[in-house]
Amino acid sequence: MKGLTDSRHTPPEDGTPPAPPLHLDAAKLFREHANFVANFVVRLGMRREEVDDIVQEVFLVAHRRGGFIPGAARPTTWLAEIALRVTSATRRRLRRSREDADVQTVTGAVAQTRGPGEQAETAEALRRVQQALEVLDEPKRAVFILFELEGESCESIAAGLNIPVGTVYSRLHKARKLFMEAHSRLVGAGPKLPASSQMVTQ
Amino acid sequence: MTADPLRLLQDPATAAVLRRDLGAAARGVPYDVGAGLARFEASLSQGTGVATTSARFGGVSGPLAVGGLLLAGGLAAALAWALAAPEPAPVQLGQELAAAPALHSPMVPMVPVVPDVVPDVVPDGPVMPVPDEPAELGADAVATSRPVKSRRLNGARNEVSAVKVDASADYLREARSLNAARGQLGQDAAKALALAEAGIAEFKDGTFAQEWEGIAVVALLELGDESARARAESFLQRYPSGTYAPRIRQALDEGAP
Repeated sequence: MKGLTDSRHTPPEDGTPPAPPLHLDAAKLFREHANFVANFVVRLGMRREEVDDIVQEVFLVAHRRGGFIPGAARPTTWLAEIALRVTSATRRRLRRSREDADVQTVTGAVAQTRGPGEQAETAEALRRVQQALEVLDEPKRAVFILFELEGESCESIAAGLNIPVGTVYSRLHKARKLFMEAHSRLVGAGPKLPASSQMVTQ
Repeated sequence: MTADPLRLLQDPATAAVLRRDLGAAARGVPYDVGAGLARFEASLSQGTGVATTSARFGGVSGPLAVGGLLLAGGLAAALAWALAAPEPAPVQLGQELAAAPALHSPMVPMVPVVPDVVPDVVPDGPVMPVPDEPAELGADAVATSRPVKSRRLNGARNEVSAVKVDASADYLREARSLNAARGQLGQDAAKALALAEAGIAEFKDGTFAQEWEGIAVVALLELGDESARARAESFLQRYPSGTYAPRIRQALDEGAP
């Protein structure tokens, strides 16, 4: 994870010019991982119009914490922990439950690049995944997303979320069971109405 | 240490439909990093400008403090004059950015309107706002986000910190110039190119080398310049995951025979 750290933690060893200001690293961290954070937040069930505010908040908090310091956690799992906190705070602020997941945000993305047939198929797949994710509580959901969709290791997830690795395994095991049951039900139920009609309105 | 379990996506025992669905979900949703970064930079420039200068000049004392007080008095007068003067129309930086063609429509950050005129001299009175931490965030994060109190205790010495002459000024100037160039994309490619080339020359050791080059390449592609393809390929080699890489790839694909 070279180059993603706060310059205060990696002083130059070879007489190179002094480290740039802190915010430069924050910009780099943003550039490298904003996409990850945005997707993580969407999969946690936040709506399209809330995603960017949360992404901004996550990186501001990361910046205030002094940037990422290499360790057992990766920058992604470290940011995921912040994103979880910011998302929870946002949910409380909005007094909205996670059942309001923005399926449209996820399924709408495929409209960019695919033909109509493939697009519909992919949108249906994404809808099923997003709705199956909704049966999980947030801690299980976060572990499932990070492990199954983002390809993070259990050790890195444990370090990032500040929980024992045994807890990660346990949450993952339960999350998989619940997710697969929900997914199976959704597959059996067949295609649903367009995503926009599934939206919970306030 | 226990080995990680096999991921569902890679496990042959997983139902085919589930693997296919997870594969689709794992690809993710595009997010306009360029616009998000612009907004983030705007937040940082508001939040860190004061703190940086405070740290730099925090140890000044004695005659310099007196000079600082005099200087601060002058600054306060200048500020009062500036506040009394008719407010200049701020450059609608956010609108410029919003007007630029969106790279990915699904998640496009809203870039705030930031006045183009950022004073080189910042009074030591009101501290620029730092967004509040969510209530449940850890104490470590909260503690580092409130530089105001120590500034007040330092008294007159901090008056000198009003003079903003450190690297953050260059950073702000570069960010502003970059946003101006970016705002021309999709509107006036020749101007965008001219601004980008000027930015590349002026900010050789700056923060946004990648973005400057990206804007230049996009502008060249918009202009249909014959050097565009070679420069675009060079950009993609250097920054395959860069902020402008998807946009450049898309432009190359569209221009391909």
